[in-house]
Amino acid sequence: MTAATAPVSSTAAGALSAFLRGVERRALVVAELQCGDPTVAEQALVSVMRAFAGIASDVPMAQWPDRFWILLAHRTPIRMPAEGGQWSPGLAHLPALAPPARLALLLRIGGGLDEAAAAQILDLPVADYQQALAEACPRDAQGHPDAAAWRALAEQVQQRLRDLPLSRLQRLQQPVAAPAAANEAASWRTPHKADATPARARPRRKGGRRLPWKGLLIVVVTAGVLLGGAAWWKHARQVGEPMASAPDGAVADAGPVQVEELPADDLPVIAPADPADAASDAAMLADPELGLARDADLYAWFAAGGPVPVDESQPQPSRPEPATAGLETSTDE
Amino acid sequence: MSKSFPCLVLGLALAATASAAPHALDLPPPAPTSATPAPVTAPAIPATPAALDPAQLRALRSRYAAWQALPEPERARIREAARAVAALPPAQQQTLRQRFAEQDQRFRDGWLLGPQLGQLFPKLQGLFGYLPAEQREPALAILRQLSSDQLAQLSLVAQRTPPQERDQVRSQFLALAPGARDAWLKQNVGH
Repeated sequence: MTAATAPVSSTAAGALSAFLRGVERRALVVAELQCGDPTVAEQALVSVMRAFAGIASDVPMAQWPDRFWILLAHRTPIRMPAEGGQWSPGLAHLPALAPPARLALLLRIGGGLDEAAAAQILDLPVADYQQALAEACPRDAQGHPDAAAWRALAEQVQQRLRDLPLSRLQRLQQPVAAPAAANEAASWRTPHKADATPARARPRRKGGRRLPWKGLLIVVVTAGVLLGGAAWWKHARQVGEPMASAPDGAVADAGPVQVEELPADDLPVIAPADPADAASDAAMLADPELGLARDADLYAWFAAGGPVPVDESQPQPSRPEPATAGLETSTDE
Repeated sequence: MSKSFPCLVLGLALAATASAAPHALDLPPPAPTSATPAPVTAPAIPATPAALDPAQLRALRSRYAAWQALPEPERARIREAARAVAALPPAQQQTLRQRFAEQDQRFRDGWLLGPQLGQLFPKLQGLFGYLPAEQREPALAILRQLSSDQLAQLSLVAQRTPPQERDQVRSQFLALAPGARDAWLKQNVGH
């Protein structure tokens, strides 16, 4: 490890500050709505940003988002918020939730994380995360997932994201903008001692160390699939026809190609059975604007006047025909 | 090295939370009565997840997430456009859909970012079409903050930047403080 004052390349510093700027708004809203206390949320986030700045150079950039959210999600005031938080009336569903379910929900609708990423951040199997989401879904009087309430809640959170004043974000940026100025070891390379703990706090979960397992499982499954595939392939080839000899890389199969029609109508239609997906899917499908969402690209294109892109790989026709008549009148005297 | 080991390139247009999903959503034929004020030529969306196969469901989730990630003014423009499309005669709607579907997918994907960025997407895509995963969110956030002048200048920069310099130029731009962007744009458009 280099000295505490190791110089930081300006590109790395730029990348870090760009990353933090990109994530801080969502992080602050998630933190704030999780603990119900803006001041606590800000403090937690400032610590997380400082801690993150300390470890960022040792973490591949592709893992920055995960690591950042892990740091945040495992901070005590976020993980186990103190009593006495305040939520606006539109968000009254949030304090009614147990903190883990609330955090699961907020990472999704406030953090904008997909289920796999959020599950990883919370150190949960995806199924457990989905269960937590399902628990967090607002219910109607009959106890069914309430799509309208879910949507209203998500809209409120989004509104909160949009309305967050810039001044609050600027307050967050100070410690990161000047890491060298912060006393002792708040440098780029050496993690801040007090703040390095949340990263380490992760293994606390029982069974949380699933990486070796996961790695092993992936290796075993991959090997199994490859071996199985190879065996099948060999067998299939031998049964089919004698191997034609062909140089490597050439296609040697001269046998007739068999074409089979796939059954079109009677494919089993399987929807994922997990309850959280079911809840959020039900909410999505009940959204009256889903049709808009599905064709948003088409409508956006239409809204912009329906331009057709110029394909630069093709020779250009002289010029597109004028969009409206009457623009080019100057050729006549 | 867990999730994305090679610093994967990600098209901006891929929806924020979604895996790459098949683009066209071939949904069952229109139901006779649809609750949504969708144009007559838009296929209806089933009301239960069970009526969609997993790939359709994934695609739909991805588009839904992209929609939710749009800023409100952009969504308002899209609502407005949907109303206008719905008011067209069915044959014209059909033509419109067909003309859109005929475009290259990399252009169509750009429109998932909304009318404003979608329009500039063909020009911006040199710089922003493919970028490391960790730059995606900051890049989108910054692009959405830019004024239309800044966007116009940035698209010139994007078009004039040779491929081998794109990463460097993009990183430089993303790292700028908001106040420094104008000067940078002016300087970089200049050469």
